[in-house]
Amino acid sequence: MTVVTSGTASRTPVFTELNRGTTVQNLPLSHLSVEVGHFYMEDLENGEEPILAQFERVRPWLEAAEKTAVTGGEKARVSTCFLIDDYFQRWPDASKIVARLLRLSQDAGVRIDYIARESSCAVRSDGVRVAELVARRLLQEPEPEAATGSRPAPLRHGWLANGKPAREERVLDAMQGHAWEPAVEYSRRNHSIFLDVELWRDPAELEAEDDKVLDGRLYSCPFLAAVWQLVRLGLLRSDGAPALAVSDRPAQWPDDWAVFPDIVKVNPAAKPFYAYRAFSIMPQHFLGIEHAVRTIVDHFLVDPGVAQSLAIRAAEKGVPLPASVANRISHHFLDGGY
Amino acid sequence: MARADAPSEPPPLNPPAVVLGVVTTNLLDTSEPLPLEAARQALRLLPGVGADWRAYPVEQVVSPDLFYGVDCKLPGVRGAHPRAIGTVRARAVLTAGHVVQGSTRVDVVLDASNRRMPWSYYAARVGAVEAIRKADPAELVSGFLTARRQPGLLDLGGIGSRVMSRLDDIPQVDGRLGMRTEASRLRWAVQVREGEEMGAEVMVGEDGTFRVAMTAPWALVPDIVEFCEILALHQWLLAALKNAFRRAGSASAPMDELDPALSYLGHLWNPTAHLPTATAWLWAELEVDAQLTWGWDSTLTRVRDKVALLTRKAIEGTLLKEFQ
Repeated sequence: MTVVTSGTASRTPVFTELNRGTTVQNLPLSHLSVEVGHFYMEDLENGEEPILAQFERVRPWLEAAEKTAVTGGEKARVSTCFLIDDYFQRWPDASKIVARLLRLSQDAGVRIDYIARESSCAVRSDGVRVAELVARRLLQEPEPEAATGSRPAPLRHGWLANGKPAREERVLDAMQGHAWEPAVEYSRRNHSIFLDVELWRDPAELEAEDDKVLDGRLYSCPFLAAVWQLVRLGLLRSDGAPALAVSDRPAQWPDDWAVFPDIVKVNPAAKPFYAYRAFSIMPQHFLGIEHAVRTIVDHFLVDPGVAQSLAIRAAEKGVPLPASVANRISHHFLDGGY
Repeated sequence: MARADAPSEPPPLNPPAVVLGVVTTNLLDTSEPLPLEAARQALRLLPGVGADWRAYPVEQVVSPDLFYGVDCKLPGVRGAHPRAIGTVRARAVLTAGHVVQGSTRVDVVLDASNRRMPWSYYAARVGAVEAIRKADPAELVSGFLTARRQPGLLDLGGIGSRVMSRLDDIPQVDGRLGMRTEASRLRWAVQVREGEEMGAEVMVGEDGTFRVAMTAPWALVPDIVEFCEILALHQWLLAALKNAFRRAGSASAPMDELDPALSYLGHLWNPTAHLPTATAWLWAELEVDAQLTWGWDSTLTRVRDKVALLTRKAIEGTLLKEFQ
């Protein structure tokens, strides 16, 4: 047995070597990123009237958001963005859609600084699997008083829950009929709101986690929306750089969505795309999706280096920054059908 | 007018009072050490994050931290086991392309909350667990270091083994290690005390497991983790070489035991490589008391002497046959 305490000062080393696998970039940050509306692709393809109407209803909430951005006393930096839903269906008319969006938003007095496309939240234009950066950092919530680390949580492929599902068993004993256990939300307050989110669906015949499976993987709308929120908050990185980078506006818009930039800056005077906080204005029928998004974000583990880089910057500038990611995200849901 | 303030946040976590860890060490199940480049690929255990690495004096690659959710009891003393909730931090360390370690660590926060909080609360404070209700730091340390494995108790070693097993699935690992080895575990615990010098006590129990109890300021915990990984590696090396020598004594083909031990392990002893400066004194003290380097040198000498004797016998046997 050895009981000792540290003694004399040690010598200064002359040789040091530590190659960091990843160096986290410090990003330029706005105080607030505002998502100014959302449409399904079929809405964008059809009549202009509903698009204009939604933008007109977005405008006062955008103004309110700009006035209430949390800045820590700095002059407010607010950027706006619009996500185009090109993942589930699309036609080769990107230039037409973008021109229409920009014209109608301008008519309604809503400024769009950046346009992004949802497909790049799955796989970006250079082939990097952005969605997998989130998928591999999701942590299943441990079961209360039962998760010691001895056994991994059972793999529920492509699903994420905020608790334990209800159980129903048919019992052979006719006297009992069947046994039933209610679902439980682990983080409940008194009563449960159990949610089980489908993150993706894989082609049925394949099993191994290889490139073929990933090529055929169909991500759910909430999953891609969670990727989008994490990108806006500067929290999703690939080798320290933002998982989706901002490009300048091309001389001419391409028609093919596949070659459309991941995120494009359409307003040259825009404040930075990435922001401490994200606010989304969208029709109320997206509420269910955003509940699922919040559940996904709650179970996403931010890279400690990335979290630290943002926290240091926020502290330097006096911007209060919530520790929990979901607390950096807020919404306004517009009433009505569109 | 933009707001300078923000909606209120839950109060920040108390600083951790205790840090607990387990280092599991074994040889990677592959016939040849991984070259540095392959090792760096292998230890990219998360997409989008590279592994840290060093080339001198010994090649070493460290995976990014992985996190595992837990909600279970911490080993206490006298049957009192406080419940802890949060995440455990784990990483894989590969030294000289061949010795693999699963190194787990958890920061224990006391007196923070008295019920399970929403999961986002724990997700925002990775690598920490909160002990619900009162727990005494000294009792947590002694409970953790002396606990036997029990169902329901935090299993840091199990998590470390899982991280290590992630490396068995990669293509460069051929599963054809030509040597019998046993994994070994080192347990360590730090009582965090600011404004005090680092203090240490290293104990070896009947089962041969090394246990390290330390007191140190928070800022020195990463150095202590590295120290414990280095101590665990060398304790494992010495045990593996001794075991091979012992097995050779009773084996019908002793060279089959000694040969792989020499070629896999013979060159690996270098305890001061990568040793954090703040813990150099501790290794120096161990060399006075436990004398691990003397143990290694003398065991290696015995192995080499035995090989020389066996070789001489073999040559004599051949000569004898020729002259008969």
